[in-house]
Amino acid sequence: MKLFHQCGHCTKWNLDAFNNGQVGDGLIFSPVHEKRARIEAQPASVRKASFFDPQYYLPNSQKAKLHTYDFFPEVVSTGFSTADFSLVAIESAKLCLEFQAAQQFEKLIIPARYFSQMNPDYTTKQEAYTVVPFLKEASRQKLKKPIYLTLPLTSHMIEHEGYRTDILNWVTSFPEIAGIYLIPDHARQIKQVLSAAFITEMLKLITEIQEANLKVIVGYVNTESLLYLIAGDIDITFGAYENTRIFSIDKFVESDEDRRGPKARIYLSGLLNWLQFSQAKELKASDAKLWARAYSSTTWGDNALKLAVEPAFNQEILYRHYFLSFAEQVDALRPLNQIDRYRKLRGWLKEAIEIDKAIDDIPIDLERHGKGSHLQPWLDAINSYYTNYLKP
Amino acid sequence: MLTDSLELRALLRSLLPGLAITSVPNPSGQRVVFFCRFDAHAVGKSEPRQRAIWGNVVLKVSQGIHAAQIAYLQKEIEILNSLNSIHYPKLYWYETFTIDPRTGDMLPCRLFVTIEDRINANPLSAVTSKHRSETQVLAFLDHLVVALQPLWNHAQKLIHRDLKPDNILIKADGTVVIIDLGIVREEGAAGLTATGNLFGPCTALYASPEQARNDKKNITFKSDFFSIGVLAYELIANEHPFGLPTESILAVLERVMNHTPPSLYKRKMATREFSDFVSKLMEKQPYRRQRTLEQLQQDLSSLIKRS
Repeated sequence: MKLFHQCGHCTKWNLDAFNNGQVGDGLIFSPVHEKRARIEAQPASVRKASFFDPQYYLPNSQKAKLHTYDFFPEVVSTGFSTADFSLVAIESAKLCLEFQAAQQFEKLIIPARYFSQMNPDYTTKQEAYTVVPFLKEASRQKLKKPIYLTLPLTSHMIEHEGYRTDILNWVTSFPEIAGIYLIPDHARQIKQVLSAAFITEMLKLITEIQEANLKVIVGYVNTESLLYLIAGDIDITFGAYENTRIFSIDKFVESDEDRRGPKARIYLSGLLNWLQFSQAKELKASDAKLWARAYSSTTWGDNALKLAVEPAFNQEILYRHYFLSFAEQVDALRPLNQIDRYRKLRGWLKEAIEIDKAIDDIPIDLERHGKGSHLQPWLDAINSYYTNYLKP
Repeated sequence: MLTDSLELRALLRSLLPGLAITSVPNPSGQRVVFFCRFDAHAVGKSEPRQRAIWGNVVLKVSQGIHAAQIAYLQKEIEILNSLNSIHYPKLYWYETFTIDPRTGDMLPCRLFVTIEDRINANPLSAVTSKHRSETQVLAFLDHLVVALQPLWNHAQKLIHRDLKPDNILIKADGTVVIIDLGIVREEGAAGLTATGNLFGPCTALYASPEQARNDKKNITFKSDFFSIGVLAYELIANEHPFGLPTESILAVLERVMNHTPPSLYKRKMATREFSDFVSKLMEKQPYRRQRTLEQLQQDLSSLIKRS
């Protein structure tokens, strides 16, 4: 089981946390945020513990940093078009795998295209776009590192049993593949996943993939990733900015201009959620005992709370607190078996529900993203999983 | 449909001087098959000249009415020639005939003839009684999987799609030879049959659910895994898991798709481990079967060690 940094803007924070803070087991490099030369300049020790997501999700993306990679579909075909890509697909695969192999990454990733709808030709298109060319090239280059297939799926695809079965039959039909880099895209109104059905189906999907003897990495996940750990020893991710914790195709079209940032938030592990920094301080001032139940102390967090001025969303201090606090939770689950992970998570969720209620009783009316409305659905989802898969 | 007849034999003798038909195997597929050899004196200078030294051969005749059928046959030849393995018969020669040499008239339908090595072995269908215990079946499966590797590991990712007792020959030392590659398919290839067909080319009793549905995109090497599971189940249980050869194809295919036979363990016919192994091979959804050849081999060797 590994915890990977999902890199985005300011990868230096992730690198510093990994190199100097021993937080996380490796990094997932993001070419949309990182020029090729900067990745190549990383020490071998970092590259060997990490891997590279080629991010072919939007093949005609015009993002400048993606264009520093000669294998990116838009670059290799000098202007991507679906009809013509087959002519250069093998060249793209060749260059991309050569790059991944040269960097000595821990594993090799076959990229995938992102489809926002339940496309009936999903598997056929992915095969032609990347899977077959990459597998051919990996075989030709005699690459020995484990090969993972990127699988970006919307919540509709995940929750539709027939569609999911087709996808499972497809991904398990390539004996050369060692694992799946699963990217769930769950459209939502608030920052946490509120759908128990979605979590339940994700747990099912992860279990089914593992039962086929494939490894699983779940990318672009928020704190709900802790729940997925009851499905076994999978790899999960964490990241700084929200767009590393929630998948959105928009980041491949948005400009890199600085925008007005959201209000700063701090991760409170006792609530399994992020609270607006100002409301967190209000809670701290109102009820020290309750605060102690919600907040897991870290140097970064303590320092942030001492600041006279609220930190801006684009400063590292609150993200560094999150890295430590979240990694601590992962470490608490890491040595446990599935049933004990379930029991611990159930305890955390029940405690979080109590804390959330107590905050309401103070009264502090948390804004909608900070409320504990995700907690009961999460509890329902893991209880259902326990009943169906784990109960002796 | 072409059948064995005196007229066909006479035509073949005129097309292939020196042909001596020695016996006829069990009917299989859409071809007429003869065991034969060539009389060296009668061969003369006619083509193919080397036939006198072939010894015992298998001669297969088909009427290539549809382009798809011809394409299948050509595919079989191409594959047999490329495999070059002891687990597949050597193909000596093939030809298409369009004229009756006795009259000079055009044949009503063109004939496609192949001649391949006759393997000195028994089809599994003739020796099932020697494969009733777990140990015997495991040893057979081990040989079978070895024999199928050249197909599954082929650069074109081939699938047999018609594994059944008549198509599996067992030599005295246990080595398996696979015959009848007429419906071998390249994984991911468009295939030669129309997608709209109710079911794909197969023998219903040993077909996988995805073949039964003609669900082409899901027909992979794991479809052969399913057939292996059916063979193993049938050998141990001494009855077929999905029906009788006398039943209609559609009735059998319906059961292949929707009926899960009781496990061999529940029927007290096998150990739990063996039974679980067979049930996994016969899972309706391919993703629930053994995912790779290596996994299948690992499962087999741990069962063999245990037995």
